[in-house]
Amino acid sequence: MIAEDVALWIAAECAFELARRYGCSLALVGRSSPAPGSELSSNLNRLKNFGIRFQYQRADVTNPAELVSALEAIKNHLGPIKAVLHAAGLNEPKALATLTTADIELTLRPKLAPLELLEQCLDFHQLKAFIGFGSIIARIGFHGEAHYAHANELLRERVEQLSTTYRECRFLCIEWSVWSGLGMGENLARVDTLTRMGVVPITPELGTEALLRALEAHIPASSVVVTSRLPQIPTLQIGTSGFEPYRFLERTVIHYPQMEFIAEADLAIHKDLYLNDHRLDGTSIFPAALGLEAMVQATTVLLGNAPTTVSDVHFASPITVEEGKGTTIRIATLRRSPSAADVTIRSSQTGFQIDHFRATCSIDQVPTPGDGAVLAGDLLRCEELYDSILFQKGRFQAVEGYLEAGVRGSCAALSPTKQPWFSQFLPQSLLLISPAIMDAAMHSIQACIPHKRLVPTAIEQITIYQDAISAQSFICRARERSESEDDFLYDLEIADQAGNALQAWKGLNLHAIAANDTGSLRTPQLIANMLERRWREIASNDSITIFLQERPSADRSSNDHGNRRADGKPTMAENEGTRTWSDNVLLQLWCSSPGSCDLERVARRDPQLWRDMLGEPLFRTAVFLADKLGEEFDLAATRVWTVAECLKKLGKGTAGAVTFETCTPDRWAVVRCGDYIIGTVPITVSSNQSVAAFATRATNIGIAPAEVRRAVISL
Amino acid sequence: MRSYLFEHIVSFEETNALGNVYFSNFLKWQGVCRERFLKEHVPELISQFSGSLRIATLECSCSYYWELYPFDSITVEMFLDDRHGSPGATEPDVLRLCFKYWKTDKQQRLLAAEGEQKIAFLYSRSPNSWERGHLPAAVKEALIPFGLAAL
Repeated sequence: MIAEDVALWIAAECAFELARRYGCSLALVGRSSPAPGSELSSNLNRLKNFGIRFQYQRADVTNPAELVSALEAIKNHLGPIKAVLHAAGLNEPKALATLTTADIELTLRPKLAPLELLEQCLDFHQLKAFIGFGSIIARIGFHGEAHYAHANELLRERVEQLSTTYRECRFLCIEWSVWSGLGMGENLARVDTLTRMGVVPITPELGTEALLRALEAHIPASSVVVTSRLPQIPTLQIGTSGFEPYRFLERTVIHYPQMEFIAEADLAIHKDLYLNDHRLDGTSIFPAALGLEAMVQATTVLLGNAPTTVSDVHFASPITVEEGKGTTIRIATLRRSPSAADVTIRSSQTGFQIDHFRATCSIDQVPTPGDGAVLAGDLLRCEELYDSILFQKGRFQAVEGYLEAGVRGSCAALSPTKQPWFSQFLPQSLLLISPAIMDAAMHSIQACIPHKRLVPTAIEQITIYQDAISAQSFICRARERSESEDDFLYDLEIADQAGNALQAWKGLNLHAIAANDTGSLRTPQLIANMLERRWREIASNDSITIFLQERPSADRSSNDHGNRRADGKPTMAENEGTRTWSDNVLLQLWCSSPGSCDLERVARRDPQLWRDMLGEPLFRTAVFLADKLGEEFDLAATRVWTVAECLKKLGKGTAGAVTFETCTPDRWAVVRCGDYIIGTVPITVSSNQSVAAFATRATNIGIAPAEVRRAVISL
Repeated sequence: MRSYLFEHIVSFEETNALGNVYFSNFLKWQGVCRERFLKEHVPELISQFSGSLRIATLECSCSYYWELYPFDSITVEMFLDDRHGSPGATEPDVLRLCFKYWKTDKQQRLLAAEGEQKIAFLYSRSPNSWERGHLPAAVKEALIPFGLAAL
């Protein structure tokens, strides 16, 4: 290919990139001689270093004789010319009033003359591409640039004409805004002035990338404007910037339609009514679900359509809103590809220095969803979740109950609020399903992990199958993928009441920020989830499964009492688990290693009676525990009683030494007897305060020890 | 900070043809509220208003969040701008009053609007001539419990 007027760095840089990308040989034509030490000679050296085959030909491209002989030399040396990059130009700013015909002719010549000469000398039918470098000034005008604007406008028109004559060849006139470091603007030392006006110069890296993209894209015209950020210029209109009003797009900060959009919204308790329902330790926190809505609002305006996929979501840092003062959020979105945009939310609380939330939104081919869960059967209400475990209030209390609330997965029935989200004079429309439903989809998982306060920190991907304007109630099915100490990874699906899948979430990461008060748990299923997770941790044993259920007492199977050895050890197969009844409550423990469990109501008894029941050594254990845990003696004595029962079921009797191991803030007390550790914890089930106990063979305890360790307290 | 409360039930007379409260009533209530305050806390000043003293409203604004309708119970909460809390932080002869319009019902109270006004006191030294002067001492004294910095 041939590139003329390579004295221009911008042209040289582009020619290098084209040669590297397409592997073509370069013929370079310019007025200068490559004197040693000159810019030109260092550019030519770079070509050598890159291994690009090239030839430099000194010629004035506006002089017919010089250009003809240069072209002959090129054809002889490199072969036929397949593509042309025409970048010649002369830019000497001059006020319109002082402009002469000579000035105009001088400026037009290098832009237009080479086109005519090349058309005469080359067979344009054999050309594959012709690229002309124009200027955005031809479109917008500029002080002192009337002649230059005119020259570039004529260039664009000429390229357009040529493109209709030679249809086999790709003609493209690229109308650049100013480049940094290289090009006309730099030559005129005007980059600083332009930058102050709000023009961001195009860097060589981005400029050459844009050139390649423009060449490879399908552009239904023979010219294209390539520009970086520009200030508001009355003569320039880029696309249409109008859009529907949305709550979180209150003020437009920057809007380059299709490219970049930055909007701000002033959040305030009295305008964003949901903030009062979303307080953690007294502080209103902008909920992640509304963050998703805000990010989708901004990207919808940018992409022109609502995204179907939201991926790489990070809720890195909470956005808080102070009573009275309010918080300004800034939503910035930048197009990444024709169908995708990156988006972040920053906040005035942190001086707009942190990406509090971040995501990529895209419009993709949405796969056909599978059938969602269907509402059937009775709901498990789990009222303690909103009464004492979860901080969500009012609008966010959308979990009606559970179809399933297992330890590794749940299926919750959700119904959205009818209360407004924003105060009356703000735009009310939402692009995603109700934030209450999305928030509840996340916090419904707390049924599986009731003992920890969880907040969402990341989502790998949300696929939006359809919106749900007509849906009255929803079902969310969630499954645990993995867990580490304080992080839980879930996949979930939200469907409407008819089972139509609406959204699928992959890889929702929930992070534990605090412990919940497990003493308030009342639903046996939730208590079982807590017991299983905690006893797995404490006993360092992942094979443990725990089951707790209220049953009509008629269900008590006779063999539960029948298959016991004389000393009380149940005779059941390995892995079948051990079971215990307390009134109408059944507790079961499964484990790959031997173990046992017990459940007893806390009974009020005279200390003397306890002494008789437990025997002196275990009575002293109870005294120690009551003191150590700071709890009433009846509770401590019941703990010791269940320890004795567990040991009896293991066939160990109570003869061995029972030593204190540790206790935890959530009221587990762990003792050891030989190879076994026995954990006891008070629970409230069927309105009765009871103690659940589990014995498992374990060498180590999976939690940090209390200050008293292994003090032998009973023999 | 302490605030002064003026309670009001919206009447038909205050609504427009569409049924909601016409916007200018919010400004009227600012006036009623400040008068009630003066009557309650500096009653001796009221008699002077017919003679040598006037209140001049220099600026007045209102931001609206919710519509109000007949029989809505509203509480106008009037308080001094924060700037009055430190001496010299505002023009000495003006009062900056802030208003919150609460719509109250059994369950909750909604912030229906917020307003602000800047007032000064005018004195007549000769007939038909009014001049801006200091805040009356009695007004200053009455406002100290409401957060006016004591001098």
